[in-house]
Amino acid sequence: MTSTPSEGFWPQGKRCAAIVSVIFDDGLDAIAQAPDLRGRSKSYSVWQYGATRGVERLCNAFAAAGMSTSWFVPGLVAERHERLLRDVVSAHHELESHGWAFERYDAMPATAAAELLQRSRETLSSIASNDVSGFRLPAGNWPRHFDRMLLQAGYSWSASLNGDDVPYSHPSSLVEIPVHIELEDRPYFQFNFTPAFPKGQGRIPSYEAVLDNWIAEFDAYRKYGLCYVIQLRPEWTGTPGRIALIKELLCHIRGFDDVWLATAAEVARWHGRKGIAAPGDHPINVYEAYVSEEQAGER
Amino acid sequence: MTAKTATNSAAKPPLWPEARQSAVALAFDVDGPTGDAMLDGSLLSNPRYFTQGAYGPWRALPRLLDLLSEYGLKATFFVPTWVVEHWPSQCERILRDAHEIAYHGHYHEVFIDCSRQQQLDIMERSREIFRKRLGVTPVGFRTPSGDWSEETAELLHTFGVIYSSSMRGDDRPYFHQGAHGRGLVEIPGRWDIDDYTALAYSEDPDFPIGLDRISGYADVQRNWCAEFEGYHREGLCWTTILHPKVCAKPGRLAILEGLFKAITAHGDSVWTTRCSEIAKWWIEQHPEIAT
Repeated sequence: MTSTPSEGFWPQGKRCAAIVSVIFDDGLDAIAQAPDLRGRSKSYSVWQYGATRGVERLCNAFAAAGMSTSWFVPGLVAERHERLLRDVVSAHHELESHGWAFERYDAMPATAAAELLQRSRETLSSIASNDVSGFRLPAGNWPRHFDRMLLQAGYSWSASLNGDDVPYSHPSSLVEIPVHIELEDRPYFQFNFTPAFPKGQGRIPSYEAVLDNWIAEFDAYRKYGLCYVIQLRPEWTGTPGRIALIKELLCHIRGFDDVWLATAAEVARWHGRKGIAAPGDHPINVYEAYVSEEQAGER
Repeated sequence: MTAKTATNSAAKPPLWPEARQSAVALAFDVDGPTGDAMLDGSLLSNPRYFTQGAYGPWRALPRLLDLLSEYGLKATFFVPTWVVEHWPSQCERILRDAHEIAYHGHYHEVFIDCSRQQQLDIMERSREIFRKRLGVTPVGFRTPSGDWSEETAELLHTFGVIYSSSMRGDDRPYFHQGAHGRGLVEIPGRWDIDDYTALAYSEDPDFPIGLDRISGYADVQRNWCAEFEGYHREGLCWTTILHPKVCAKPGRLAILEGLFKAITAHGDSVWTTRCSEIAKWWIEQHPEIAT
């Protein structure tokens, strides 16, 4: 097998793809970890900062770089911040689903899941200028055959799992754009004392080191011809001190004319049109085989 | 040789072959999705974590093999045999590129929690898979997931394994004590050069437990190079505890490349080879004295 996509893999003669994505949860991710956060106005405001200040700052950085980005938003947050999101989408950013309110799809009946998936898509579609077709798993585990459920609910792609660094297809043909945690800002920057985020209250790292990591990854994704997906949150990098990292990163990405700078939906549509199934030893298929083997009691 | 070496007694045999100042046994644990979550069954419902682990043999390993061949380096790969069964062609390439493959459990079992018979069953199952799928019988072992039990070293030795790379307490090879004389050769490593300590990160299951940060890659490269240079300066034996799914992600291959450059810059004075070569050399240099 080859370890790197061949020449002509990416459209328009490009060498690799880069997607800038934003995860705008307005604190729902934190409340899912620490439910008492809602009654702690000081701590909760750490996350509310995103809507108050971070979204606009990120948007300004994207505008300066002339980039369209993909925003994953829970339906509930879209209702809560409709006006703010209308400003976001008017600048050619796309909205995609981050579920409804940080529910766990592995802990609810299929009918309830289908209803929330549809509701989220409809709510986001009423604000978005794009056709909402993408989904990112908010909390909990990806239930078995969830790809089929997403297709039934009108989605055509997901950015939830790992296992590769170029898009691939689930058995149902749902497209997966794999995401990697080292390309998220939250693991590096989230911080609160009580409740503790992160749990061990690790030190806030050197900003320069984080930027260097993201650039090292980008340079390698370009070298190997892969699909780079940076994942930003307004509360963590939409700040006066950290926006400079984002500006520098975007400027670095912009410095190459062989990078296909696209939204996640564009990359998903391009991959979907190819209609190529993942090979048998692809992680997504080995996972299916693993579950089947265990259920058959082969251990 | 100007550097002070561990060969400080004229009566002792030289640590390394002539003109070699130190030994480097680059070693990678290709765990893939095996390990605790597979052992306790939680992985069945966690495809996100499964695919994160599967990225290792599927994507990271081939690129790592490319990089090793670019620098002409031979290494040792400790592979749980569940990974061999599910990614046979990727594992075949390890051997085709003249690297060594060695035992690392089947599901990455915790040996200290296994009875003597269970340990033996794992070894037999692994040997069968290595023979059938890859046509080799490994001679080395690295204990997966933490400690082994009191009987493990002797069990492995009787089983036909000649070396282990599991311990942490020395920076040179040594012999385990067997019931009837000398046992396995040990090629010890240290946490300082385990990529989990600096780079691995997962929220669910949580690693590290406190969700501390991912280190800056440039700092990691400097640390790892400092470790290698220290071992080389003192003429010791350096092995690594690296995992393709962690250290051979695209941007981190550059860390390894920096390390490979540092090693190859010393030319032939570094004996970069497979663990089994070091173990065989050690056995030859230290003939057992009959008691």
